[in-house]
Amino acid sequence: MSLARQIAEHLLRHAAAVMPGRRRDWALGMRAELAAIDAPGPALTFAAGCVWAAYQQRISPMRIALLTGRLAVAVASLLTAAAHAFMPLYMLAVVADLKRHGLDGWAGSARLFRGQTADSALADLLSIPAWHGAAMLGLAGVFAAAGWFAARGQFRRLLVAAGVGLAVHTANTLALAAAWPSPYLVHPAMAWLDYLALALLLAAAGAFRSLDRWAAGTPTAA
Amino acid sequence: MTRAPNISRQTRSVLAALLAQPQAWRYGYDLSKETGLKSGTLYPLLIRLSDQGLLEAEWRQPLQPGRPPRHAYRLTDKGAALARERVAGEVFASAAPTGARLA
Repeated sequence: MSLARQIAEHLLRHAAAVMPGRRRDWALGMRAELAAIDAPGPALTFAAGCVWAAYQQRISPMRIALLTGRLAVAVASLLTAAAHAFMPLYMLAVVADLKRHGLDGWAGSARLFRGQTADSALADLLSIPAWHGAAMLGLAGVFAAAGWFAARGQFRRLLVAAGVGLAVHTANTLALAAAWPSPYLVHPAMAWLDYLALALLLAAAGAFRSLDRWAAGTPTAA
Repeated sequence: MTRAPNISRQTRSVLAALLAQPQAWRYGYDLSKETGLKSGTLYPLLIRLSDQGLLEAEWRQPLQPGRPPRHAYRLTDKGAALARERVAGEVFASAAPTGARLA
């Protein structure tokens, strides 16, 4: 067997491996056609085209668009998770610094505390309920999980995560409304941002789920 | 009145080749040679036509002994109707006299 023929056979095996399972007959058909081509050159060209055809069946423009969208949602969710985790941790660091160094530390030099004593600043900060910090960390977990599910294409779990996030966020916002206004507590004024993010997650999960089903079906444009 | 979807030049070429012998089973490599389309273009077209119910496929025993069965294709009735409409439309369009010719 000539080298070109061997390469052609190898390419066809690769095409058969790449071809989706539901297209198995087509891959077998290509191999049978290769056996019917006697000249090595045309056999090699034919086999190379079959590899290209197999990859076209595996990777459609819709799948690429879907993957890009999923990764964009995953990155946005992870950044949102980081922002939610940052705030309570930052507040804890500020409280720790105020307790240790008073207004002489890095936290005390903030414009926020200008004209205040360390004790009054601490009292204001500690008036923020601890469960609010826990809720923020919970939302961070929800957004991180949503990012993970979006990246892995687990759209049902993404829907559930967004639903859990809505429940946590609503409970937190309603509870905080009683304490509002309170120094440094900006959550009620910014609650709409989280509602917007969670609504976008729900919409993305629904859209991705529909697109995924559609892309898995039969293509319609000839 | 509904408008038929646009089809590509390559698809028209495959439909014309299949329509030339609508009852005959045709092989991929033969179609590739006849239409001048590479297998990387031809097979996705055939797969799409098959998905849309315009093409049927069947395993055919080879004429030469010792060869494996070959996957063969032909138009379904629906495919033949579309091909007639499209290919005939193309022939009519290319044969129509232009304004320059008339002048």
